[in-house]
Amino acid sequence: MSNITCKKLTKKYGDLQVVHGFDLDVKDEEFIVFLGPSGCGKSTILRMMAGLEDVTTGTLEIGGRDVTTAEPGERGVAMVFQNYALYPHMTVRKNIAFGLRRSGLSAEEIETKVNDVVKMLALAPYLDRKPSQMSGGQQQRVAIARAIVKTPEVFLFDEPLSNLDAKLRQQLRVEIAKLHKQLKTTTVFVTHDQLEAMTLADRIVLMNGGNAEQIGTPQEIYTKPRTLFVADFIGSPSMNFLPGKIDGVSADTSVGKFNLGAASFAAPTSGSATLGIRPQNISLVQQNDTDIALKGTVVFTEYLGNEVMMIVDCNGTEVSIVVNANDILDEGTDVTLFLAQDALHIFDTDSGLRLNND
Amino acid sequence: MGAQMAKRITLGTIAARLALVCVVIFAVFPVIWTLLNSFKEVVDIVTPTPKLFFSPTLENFQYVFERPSVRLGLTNSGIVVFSSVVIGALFGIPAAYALAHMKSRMGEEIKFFVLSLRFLPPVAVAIPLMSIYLDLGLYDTRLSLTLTYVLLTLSTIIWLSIPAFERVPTNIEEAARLDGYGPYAVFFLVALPVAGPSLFGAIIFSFILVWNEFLIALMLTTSEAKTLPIVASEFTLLGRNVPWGILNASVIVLSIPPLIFLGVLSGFLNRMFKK
Repeated sequence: MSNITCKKLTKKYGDLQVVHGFDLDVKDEEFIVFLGPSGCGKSTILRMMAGLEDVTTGTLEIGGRDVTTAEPGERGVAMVFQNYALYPHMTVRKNIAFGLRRSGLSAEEIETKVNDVVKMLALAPYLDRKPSQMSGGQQQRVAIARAIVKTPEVFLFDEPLSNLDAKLRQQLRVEIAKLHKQLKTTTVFVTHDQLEAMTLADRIVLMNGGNAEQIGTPQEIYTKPRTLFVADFIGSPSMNFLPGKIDGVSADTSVGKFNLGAASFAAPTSGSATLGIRPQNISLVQQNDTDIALKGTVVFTEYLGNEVMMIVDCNGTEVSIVVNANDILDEGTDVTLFLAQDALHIFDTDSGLRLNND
Repeated sequence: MGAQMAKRITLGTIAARLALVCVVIFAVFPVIWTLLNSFKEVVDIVTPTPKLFFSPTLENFQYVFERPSVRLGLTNSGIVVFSSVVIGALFGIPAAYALAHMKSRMGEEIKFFVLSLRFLPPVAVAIPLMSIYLDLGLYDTRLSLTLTYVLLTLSTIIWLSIPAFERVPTNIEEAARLDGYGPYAVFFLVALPVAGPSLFGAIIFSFILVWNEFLIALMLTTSEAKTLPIVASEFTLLGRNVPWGILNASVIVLSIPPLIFLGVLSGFLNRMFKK
């Protein structure tokens, strides 16, 4: 039993409120990712879970135990920091064993546990090195080992991959995913990188301005973004937004008027709506009769390897599309874009909420 | 073109080196001359043409060490300086740790107060202290001098240790808290060893400060608790003929402990930093 329950958590620094009544149930063995821009409160909530920040109001339970005011060491959590936070005056071996010295285990038991973790993370060659003699990636693996060796109820990761270069980040990301499959320890992972969130998470908590904007599986977040913010934050390149008015099934937008008869959605309260479509859902050939056709001119291309990203100027509005690299067009070419209606997201411009019925 | 550049750089470097050599000679020559003179007989010192080569003698040092006043001064200096530095470190280092973590207006005020202890001219402190110690019957004792020096060492050590603790990454201490360690364990097992090398610097600095201290010692002691700088200065009052050799020897004796301290510990510090 190591679920986490946050009930109406708030955090204030003086008059500045950074977390506004945060609710979350993390199930046992779940991998939760907090995703959001900097300053959205994601790290603050993680640090409240760790006990490194006081909870202003609300309650926090780990494994059914109220730990709202418990000391960090009494919560059964282990944390991995962005800057590794290894003890610089200790060797790798001592760094890993440091947390166990408080647990009342015998020297042999500690030795066995340390050796197990060292084997798991292939750290044996570095055991007698000091952190300063290792690369960032190796240091972070030591930090992960230090967290695992305590066999905590919950792992907390605070942007652990942000200081690493792209290749290492990917390697370590895979390693963290494998470790979670193996150990099944409940994990909360904070990042601002959507790729990390999408690949690692069982559920993503998308944070904005101290609130959870949406909580859902990566698929839900990607295919059914609850708000404009989520739609804009998730996906690369970003979703195209076409602001305009909707009356019944006819839409009047910056790129022209069209019929939305094939889409199912609730009417926006004031009539102002924003249509959203991902660059990947725009095609250069017609797939369905109901596809919305937009005429435009290619103004910019970006070759991505197997795909190509192009920006098309449609009547003054720039629409980005991603198509197969074979379909690359020269800049200046006139094209017709086909927008699939079933991939269209319709948002109420005033409230930012998604209106689709699905 | 490239060669010309190299040549210009070389000329520039040579000029810089020369300037550096001049400055070093300017700074070090008096010290070397003092060292040489401490091994000379008076005849060799007062000759109109300075002598670089002479038959060295240990008479000056012998004289200095045979003087009871020097032995007393050495003992006094040793005890007073050692105690004040140890007390200063014992209280100053934990205080600095607390202040480094005190991110509030109050913390800033305390830091400024500590620094302000070093603003006042020593005389301004020494005169009131003199009368207090006279009233308490503590005048001219090692205890009163130690207490006064603790003010110096404490404020210096606190002031220099705060940045040392501030450089200890917060996350390391947080990691230790998550590893189940309480505040004292975090201080002793994590913060202290990590900040250690910089703290040594603070301690050495405060040691040198009180070892060389003259003015306060002059005002708070008359005979029993006189420190080495006071005793050494008194050699100039030994009559009309200034005993240059003895004076130089006493200066050398005075300079050796800080030099040893710095020499030994700077090697130690270098090793600490390299690891």
